[in-house]
Amino acid sequence: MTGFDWKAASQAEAIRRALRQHAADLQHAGDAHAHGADESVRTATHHGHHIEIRTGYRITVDGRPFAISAAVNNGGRVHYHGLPTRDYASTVDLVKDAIDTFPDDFGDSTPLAEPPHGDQTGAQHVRGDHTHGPHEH
Amino acid sequence: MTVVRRDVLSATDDLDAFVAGVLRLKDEHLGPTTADFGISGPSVPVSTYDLFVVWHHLAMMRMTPPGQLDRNAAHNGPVFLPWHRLMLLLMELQLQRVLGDDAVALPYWDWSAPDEGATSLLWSAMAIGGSGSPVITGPFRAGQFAVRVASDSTSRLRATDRPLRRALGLNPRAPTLPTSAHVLAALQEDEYDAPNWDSATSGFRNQLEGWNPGLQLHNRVHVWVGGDMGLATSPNDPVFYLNHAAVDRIWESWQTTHGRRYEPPDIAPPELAGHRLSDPLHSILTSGVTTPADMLDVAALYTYDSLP
Repeated sequence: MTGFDWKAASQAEAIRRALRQHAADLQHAGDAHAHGADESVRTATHHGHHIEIRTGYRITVDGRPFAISAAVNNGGRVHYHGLPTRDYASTVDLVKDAIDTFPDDFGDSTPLAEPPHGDQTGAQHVRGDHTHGPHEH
Repeated sequence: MTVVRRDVLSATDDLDAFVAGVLRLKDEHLGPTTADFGISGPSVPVSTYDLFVVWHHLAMMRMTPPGQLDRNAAHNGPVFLPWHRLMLLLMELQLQRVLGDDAVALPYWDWSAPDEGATSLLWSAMAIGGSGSPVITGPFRAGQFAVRVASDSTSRLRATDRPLRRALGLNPRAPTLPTSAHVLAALQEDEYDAPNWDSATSGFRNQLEGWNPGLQLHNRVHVWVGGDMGLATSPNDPVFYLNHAAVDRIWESWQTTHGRRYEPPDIAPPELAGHRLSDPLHSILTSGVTTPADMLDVAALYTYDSLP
């Protein structure tokens, strides 16, 4: 980036100007949790055939919705942005790690009297059976 | 001027400057509050240091493209290296500004050096302090340094006021740090990145980021340090910058061998927007546009004292 004045761009007033410029983006920063989709889409081509696999999760902990977006990649690994630098072979292990990492978020382990009806996140879910092979996702 | 980034364990003056600069940036407030950012909790001013925490989180939550949950504006895709290069460059410039010294350079932590681990001098009270929840030694200990903005289990930002947390080497998934063999294996990878350009692909970027092969290099260091380094708001721990300087140094080494090349090119399909050579890098701290192309050769701004 020849000729760009990095020093000028690092001054306090320049940063304030940048923050004002990005204000519309920033006002939702607090709630900008990763929710690009409610299901992962894995695609591959095999002998000319196009494969598409959509995977969604509805997760509850103690009967309460745990509203995260868990993604499965083509390697079959599951991850979510709450614990961004690790992935899992098992979504169960992912949730266990989340409980261990954020104990305050899960509070009392007493389950609800009855499970909630519907999904409070409004997530769309894959209908039909989930068929699990050797690896749980 | 061109500054020289040095090994944090030998460049004690650089470490001292880094610590002093971080503490000053934590005490500087340019105006925005947590309410301006839609962060729940009591509205409090956001420090200059914490602007970088917010930025990192925001970029991570920006899916590229929308509608999928893997590749985002700073991770799990080709832009991982140039985006973090920009972030570190801007932090380095902030350190220079608050310290009034254009020669200040970010040090790097060579976590692949022999015997690096929880007993390293890096974690001593004279350096950046040690493990703990809370951290109780060093310049970032409880009472001297506080985490003010942190992500929760649903990846939302929350205002907080708590000490820093680390858990060095305590995660069974990463009981040890990466080794020089892992670094060398990554450096031998000729391809910068590859389709599908995400966390499952082959290539140097994904190997250095630490997804393939899994839990190595960059990712492994985050998990090994644990605590705040394990969250989407990992820049809350100043060691974030020492780790990423090491990552950037490895990229610089790769570039000297394989060329200052980048993929995907501008002609790549629209679903790779945000990751192509001339696409704007996500930023909240700059008014202009910086691209991956702009970050390929930064020799005019900084170099490393040595390369792996």
